[in-house]
Amino acid sequence: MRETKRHSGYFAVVKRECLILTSRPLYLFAALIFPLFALFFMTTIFGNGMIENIPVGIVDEDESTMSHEIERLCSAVPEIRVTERFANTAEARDALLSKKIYGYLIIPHNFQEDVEANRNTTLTLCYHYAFLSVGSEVMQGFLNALRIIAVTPLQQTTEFLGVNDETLETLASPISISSHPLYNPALNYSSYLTFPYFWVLFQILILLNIAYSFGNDFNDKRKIVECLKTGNDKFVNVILGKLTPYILIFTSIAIFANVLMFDIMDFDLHSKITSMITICFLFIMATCSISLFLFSIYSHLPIIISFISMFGSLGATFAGVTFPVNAMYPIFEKLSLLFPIRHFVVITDYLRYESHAFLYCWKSILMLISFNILIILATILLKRRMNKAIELKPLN
Amino acid sequence: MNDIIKIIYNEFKAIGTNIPILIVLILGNVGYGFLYNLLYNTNVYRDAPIAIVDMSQSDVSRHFIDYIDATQQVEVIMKTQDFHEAKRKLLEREIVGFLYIPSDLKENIMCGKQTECLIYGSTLSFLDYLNISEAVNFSSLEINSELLPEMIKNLNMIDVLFLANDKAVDIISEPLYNESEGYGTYLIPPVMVIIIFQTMMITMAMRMGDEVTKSRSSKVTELEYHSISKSLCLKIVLGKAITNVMIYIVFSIFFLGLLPLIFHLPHLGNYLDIAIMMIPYLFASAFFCLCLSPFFTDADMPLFLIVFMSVPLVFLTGISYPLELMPWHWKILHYLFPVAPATLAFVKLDCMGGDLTNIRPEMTTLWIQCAVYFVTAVLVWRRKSLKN
Repeated sequence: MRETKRHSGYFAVVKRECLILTSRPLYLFAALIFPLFALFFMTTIFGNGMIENIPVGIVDEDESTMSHEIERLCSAVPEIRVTERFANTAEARDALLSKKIYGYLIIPHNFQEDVEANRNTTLTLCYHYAFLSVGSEVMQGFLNALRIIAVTPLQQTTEFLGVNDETLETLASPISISSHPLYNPALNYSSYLTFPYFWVLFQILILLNIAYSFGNDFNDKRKIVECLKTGNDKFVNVILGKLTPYILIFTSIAIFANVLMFDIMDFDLHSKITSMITICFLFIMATCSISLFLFSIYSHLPIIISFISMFGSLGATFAGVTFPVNAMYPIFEKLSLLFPIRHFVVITDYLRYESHAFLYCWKSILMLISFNILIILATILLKRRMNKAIELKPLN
Repeated sequence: MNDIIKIIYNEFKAIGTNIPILIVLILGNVGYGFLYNLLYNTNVYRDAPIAIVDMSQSDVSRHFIDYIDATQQVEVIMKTQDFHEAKRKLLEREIVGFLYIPSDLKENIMCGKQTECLIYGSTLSFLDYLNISEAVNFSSLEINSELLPEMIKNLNMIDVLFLANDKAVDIISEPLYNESEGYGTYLIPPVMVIIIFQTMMITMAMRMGDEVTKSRSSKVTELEYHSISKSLCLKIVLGKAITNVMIYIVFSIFFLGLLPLIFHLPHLGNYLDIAIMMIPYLFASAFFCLCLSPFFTDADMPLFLIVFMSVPLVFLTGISYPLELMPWHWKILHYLFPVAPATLAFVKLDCMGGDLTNIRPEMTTLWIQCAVYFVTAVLVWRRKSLKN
């Protein structure tokens, strides 16, 4: 009681929550170490982020100077590396199945002869599409390497006729295509996935930590009374006091993550880092609110924790990073709006790559802020539930 | 033997009477299974919205645009002559990219010059970029082959008009093991194997946490019962593992047999081979979870660890990012979790039509994990019983 008098109720609840957090290493792990592990994982898992030197094979049924030239060309592109040579397709398929290679090119019998005689001939490139991202890089690598080979018959004739290479290039492709990948010109996987997926993991932890913290106290009438006493019988003190240590911890981690990614690892950021941190804070608040709200509508901890786990895991899909939400069924696209991570990804995409981000993402910011209304709803629902619990089963 | 049967009976009874575990087991598995399949059921990402900044406004450019619009990858939702308008639409996320066709396209063709068209594609989702890139490049190949005779004429090279009949080397690209080239058919089969691991971990962890909670509140508990006879540790580990393996045989049939049929997922594998692969996988997963039992001190906390690991596990399997390019420390982790080799093995069997000889490295890893985690689990439970 003396403690409660010395601090206001709010600070007393904060202090109580801090003591709970430090009472078991597992709690501290869940709130602090796991997010830091997630940060370490996501910033290191992709290596340098470039899918390159992917092992591929050549099925050389021709064994000619031209087929050796093709092999040399394939080895020269950064995406792929010729590691195996096969006499037939069956061997190549086996190597593909054993994951020794991710693709192979078939150079048919009499390839050189056919090219020189201006006969129809085909190079077949097979790539592993059960591993979609690697497969598409392998395909791109092969196509880049074979661009020159494709016009070899033309080249031979034009050389004979004294037509220069520039004219040949114009003849072969009157319209040339130049690609400009916006925002991530190197198509680096680390730049692409590290930031959003760290936040996907982090939101799962935020959701679970909050639900677990409240569930631990609010499902036990003795603890409910203790909480209320500590909070000077003010329910708002209890809610805010319990949330504060978590919000502080999560915000500190968010600041560290932003500094690490945008200052140390030099990921692109076209806005101020403070804007990014502010949005991260709003996201943390929104996620805490969702978690608290879900807990307030159904109190049975194991079940609600399971549901929240599912909600968090679905965030990975609804973030729309790897598979756009507009490519899903319309109902799922609409459902994605209920996930703070969706709005967070939209906002941070703007912040990372555009200078006047707020002009375009203000709607998502409003949505993110509006999630905080759920705290009020949750407070009302939880207050009702607590009163009921105390009234029905008064303490001895 | 009788002891093991008794333990299995007790486990079934405990699981069958625990509502939260039953909910996770039945609703979690069925819900997760159906939901993930439905989420990616559109499978192929088609008709990504793009714009064309057509400065040429010629018959050639219109023809080129028609080709692009005809591809399944993109849909041309806007044709404009204003570069900034296209840029604005891109910023407002109404389009995922645009193609810039310069004003001198027609003149260049008349003069036999090459024209460079520019793709500006968003990489916020790599699938968007892949779509616009594929659609434009494919269409340019088509229109270029049509323009060749005209170019030769325009270059005043009528004497070499036969060049137009020269055959370029055809390059056929053949995506293997994912014929529809879909995202769902690529992602869902491995995710099903991961869900099996995850929900098995969750239910086992909840059960173990529940045991600990009960041991705190009552005098005679299962845990104390287990601790009475130290020699029973081996049987306890076996009994618990067998129970969960039995339960998960049913869910494996659901995830790997029924759902692929319902949602038309790739299925090239032999069911017997898959079943043989699943045996060490389920046992290794069960033993792995039993090894972690000291961390499961209540019924809810385990979820933190397990749910949190769901996304990293997708990466650690090497399905979404090649294992070869990961740093060594993450490769080690790949060999520690039974789910990683099992996912690869399942993809090889079911999506790639391989047989048991093709998954020998994964099977070896799984059996080694089985042995190591079994011994470790026995030691962990022995220590636990000694403590009690």
